[in-house]
Amino acid sequence: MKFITKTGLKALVTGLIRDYKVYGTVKKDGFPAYGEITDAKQLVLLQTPTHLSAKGFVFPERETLLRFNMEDGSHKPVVEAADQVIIGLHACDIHAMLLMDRVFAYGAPDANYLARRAKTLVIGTDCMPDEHCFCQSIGTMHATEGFDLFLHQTKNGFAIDVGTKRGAAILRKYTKAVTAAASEIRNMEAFEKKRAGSFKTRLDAPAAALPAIYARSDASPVWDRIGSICYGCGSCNNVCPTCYCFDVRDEPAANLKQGERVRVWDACTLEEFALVAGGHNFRKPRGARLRHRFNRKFRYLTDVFNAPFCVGCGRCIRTCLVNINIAEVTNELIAEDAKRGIIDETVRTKKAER
Amino acid sequence: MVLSCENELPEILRQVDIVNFREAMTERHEDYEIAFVEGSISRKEEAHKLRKIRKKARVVVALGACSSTGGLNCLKNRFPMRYLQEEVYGRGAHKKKAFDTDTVRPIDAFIHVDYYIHGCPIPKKEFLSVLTALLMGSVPKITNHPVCVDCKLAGNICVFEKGKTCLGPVTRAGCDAICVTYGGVCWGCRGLVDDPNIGAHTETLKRYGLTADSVMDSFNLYDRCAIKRKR
Amino acid sequence: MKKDLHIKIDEITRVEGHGNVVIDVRNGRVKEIKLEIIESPRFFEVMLRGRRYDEAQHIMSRICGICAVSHTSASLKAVEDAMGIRISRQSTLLRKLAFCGETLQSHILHLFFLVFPDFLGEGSIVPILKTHPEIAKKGLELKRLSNEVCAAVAGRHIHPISFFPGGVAYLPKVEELKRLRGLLKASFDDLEYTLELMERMPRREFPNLKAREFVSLKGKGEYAVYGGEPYSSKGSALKTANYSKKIKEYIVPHSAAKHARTSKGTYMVGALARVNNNWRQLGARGRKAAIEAGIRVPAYDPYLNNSAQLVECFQAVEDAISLIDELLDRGLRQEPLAKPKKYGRGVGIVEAPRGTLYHEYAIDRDGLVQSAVCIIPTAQNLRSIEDDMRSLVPAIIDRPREEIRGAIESLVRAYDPCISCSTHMMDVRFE
Repeated sequence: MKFITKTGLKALVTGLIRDYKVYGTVKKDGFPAYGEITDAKQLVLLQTPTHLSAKGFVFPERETLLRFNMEDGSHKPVVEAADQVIIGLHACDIHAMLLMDRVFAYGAPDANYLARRAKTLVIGTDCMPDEHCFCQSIGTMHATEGFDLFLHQTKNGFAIDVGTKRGAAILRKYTKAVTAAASEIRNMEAFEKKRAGSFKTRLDAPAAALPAIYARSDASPVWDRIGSICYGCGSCNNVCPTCYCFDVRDEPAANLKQGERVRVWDACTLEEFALVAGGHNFRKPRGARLRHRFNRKFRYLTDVFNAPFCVGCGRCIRTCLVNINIAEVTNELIAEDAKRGIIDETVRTKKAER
Repeated sequence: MVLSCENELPEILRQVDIVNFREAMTERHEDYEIAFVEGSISRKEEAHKLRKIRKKARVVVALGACSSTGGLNCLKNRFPMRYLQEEVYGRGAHKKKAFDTDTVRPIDAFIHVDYYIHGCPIPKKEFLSVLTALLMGSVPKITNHPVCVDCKLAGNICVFEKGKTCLGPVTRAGCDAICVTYGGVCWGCRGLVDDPNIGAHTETLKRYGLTADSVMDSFNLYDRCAIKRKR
Repeated sequence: MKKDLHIKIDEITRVEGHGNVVIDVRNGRVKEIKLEIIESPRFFEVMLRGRRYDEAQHIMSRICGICAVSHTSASLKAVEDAMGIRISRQSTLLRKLAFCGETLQSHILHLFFLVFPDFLGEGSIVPILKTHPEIAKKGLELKRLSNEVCAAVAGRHIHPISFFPGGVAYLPKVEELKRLRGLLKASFDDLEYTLELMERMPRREFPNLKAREFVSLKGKGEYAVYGGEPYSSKGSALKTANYSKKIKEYIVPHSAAKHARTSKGTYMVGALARVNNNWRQLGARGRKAAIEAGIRVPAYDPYLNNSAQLVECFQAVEDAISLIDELLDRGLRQEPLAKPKKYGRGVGIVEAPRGTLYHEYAIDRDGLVQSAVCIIPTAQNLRSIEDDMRSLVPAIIDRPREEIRGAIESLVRAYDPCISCSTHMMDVRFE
């Protein structure tokens, strides 16, 4: 493990700004957010999660996929990617990005995402849970891969996990790192211990049990109840670090000769997400849309990728104006399931451990 | 806002003939296929003129909040018409033709409207996208999701977090949440989404400290005509 | 000599809003000359009643899409006056900068889209795009620049977003201000081009010129559009709070917009009035342009209003550059909005592109607007327009009918009336 001082971090960031587009955690209107960093002073390593996730840096909310010419029918793909660094990702966000990497490489690989991702350096940092964080229950509390560097704040500076050769190279190039002293590592471990004991939100079953529980919960009264207060505003999708759905549109220019094909984020909780030709909507009621979203996080995608697609960052809980809480809802489904008397083996073992 | 398309105006004029734009043109003809109609209806003659336009045009597009939802003008409907006239123009004003007025209504209270460009003001981008779609013979896409979507995509901090309230969760997006981006709140100028959760938003606004009256006042600013009609 | 003449221009074009001109001359005697305002009344002042003080600027901005910054600002000044709110120097500078954008935008729109077609023998900007593309392009470029100035400060030009009672809720980006400064500096070339263009155009001259009263704001050390106190060329300065002693509104049967007069009678507001009243306050570029445009104060010819508008374009660009310089020198800081300290009555007066604009509100202890009065520039000019038509028609009555019609239309257009704005007058007695 390496170590740099606070001045050492400043040198690192200043160096990176020279050679890369740098994004990092900042305070926006006094709230935690990601933003472009043009001066090392702007970077604030935040311990609580940002309002939006970092997915926009690799999967922008709107991007051009191709430019076309309607006169001669020609078209040209657009793949835009610049060397960039994202500083301040928490462990849950790093897990989320690893999931996104698998999604966009699955089936027909997504050239735009993968090109951008290949040019992105990730510098993680540790955090302290707030009342809505539940990464501990999902198993995304620590990141062992998916970053180039990971900064652990200690008393005198930062203990650093070096994740990749690229990470080691930037550390060498821009700052002076030494081997971390034992006291720094003890310092870091004490913080981790405190962190582990600070979670207020927990899931009442292990993540591995959730696909089965969700599979039995289609008829739960929970969906109608949360559906009645849901706006269908898509905020939970848009702040989620693993929601990757998008819409593709063709936008002709005013001269009706050229045009662009763009993709923009879409969200399964919006009314028109499952609307198809002829005006049929597969998930018109808001409750059905929420059920779909929650199943995507804990069941449908888990069946494909063998991992939960919720990383426990709590962003959807914080953003929801009507207080729909994915952790509470999941716990309710777990309780309903227990009442039905079908106790999953994994649930039993977990309880026995306690 | 249409005249603010400085870059696109020359291109647009290569595609279409503008036959009647009284405020900008002397020439006028009565031969047209697409009619963009601005403004709400508050007089019989206006309704008559509107029906004539509907008969001629193959496509009628409501342009702007006054036309598409009645807009702010509906605030006037809180008062009896005669009271309004006498307040403004003095006693006996209701008998004079120049001061004639009636309950304000959006244009679709009188005629079938094919497409809507919402907002006060309309976003230039939306006007251009509807126009190009019509010229290409495709169906214009009218946004039907709440402003919260645009606001998240714009990277804004939610105004509720800053201790303010807004109508974003029930208001039709398409504006890029520009009001929040520039330090304001969503006032609801683009009208409600097709299926707004008014009940839930009423509860939210109360939870954030608004009284029942001020909740109604917020909705009434732009949605008075729409909410009246939904009931 | 012609004995009878009857002209009715239905829905006069290339003015904002709906108005008819009626001219009736029998046996050589003018029986009737009037500008009928047929636009539907909109009752904005009543719409405001019972609404919260911090919604007033948003609602009143909707009176007009062309002078939205003016209505917003007059409304804010009235609310801030009524509630004892004092805004910071930075907020004042930002509001003034938006004003420069609006003045430029409105005058350019009027000159290029509504006036020049007359001189170029076309009905609108549309054919000019084909016949004189270089002229149209200059107009569109200047207009875009003015929009960008407003947008940098207020989010957009039509219905500014960031202006609230107590200040400005958004800080423009430093890089954007620097970029605009460069564009503004370069735009003097386009304005010079426009000035030369206007000099080449045939100029109408008003016959039988008489002295007239000009009313506008007048400031110390600045060409007042946002600041200053009301001033009359036939009198002296008067206090903002007492404006209603000088300006009286009244109803005429043929108009949904009220007319206005001072104790001395007919008066004119707008660019020409401002240039006359603030000649000393014009900056170097503005004054040079005025002299080149042939304006010698006092200048009474209403057709000169168009030249005065161009002079104000120079002035607006000059002012915008120095406002940006001051903002950048001071450094931009996020500031909280200043809070209300009291409630009661308040008056806000600004110079909209078309003239002096008055908003007066009474606000109750709950912060709700109890009553409102707005006096709109065009309403103040209606009487002046009719008076001018009355002296113009007998002087040109021997000319061909089409020429008379053209002269009348040009006259109305020179005033740049905004009829939609003017049709919501309301008289309220404050209890």
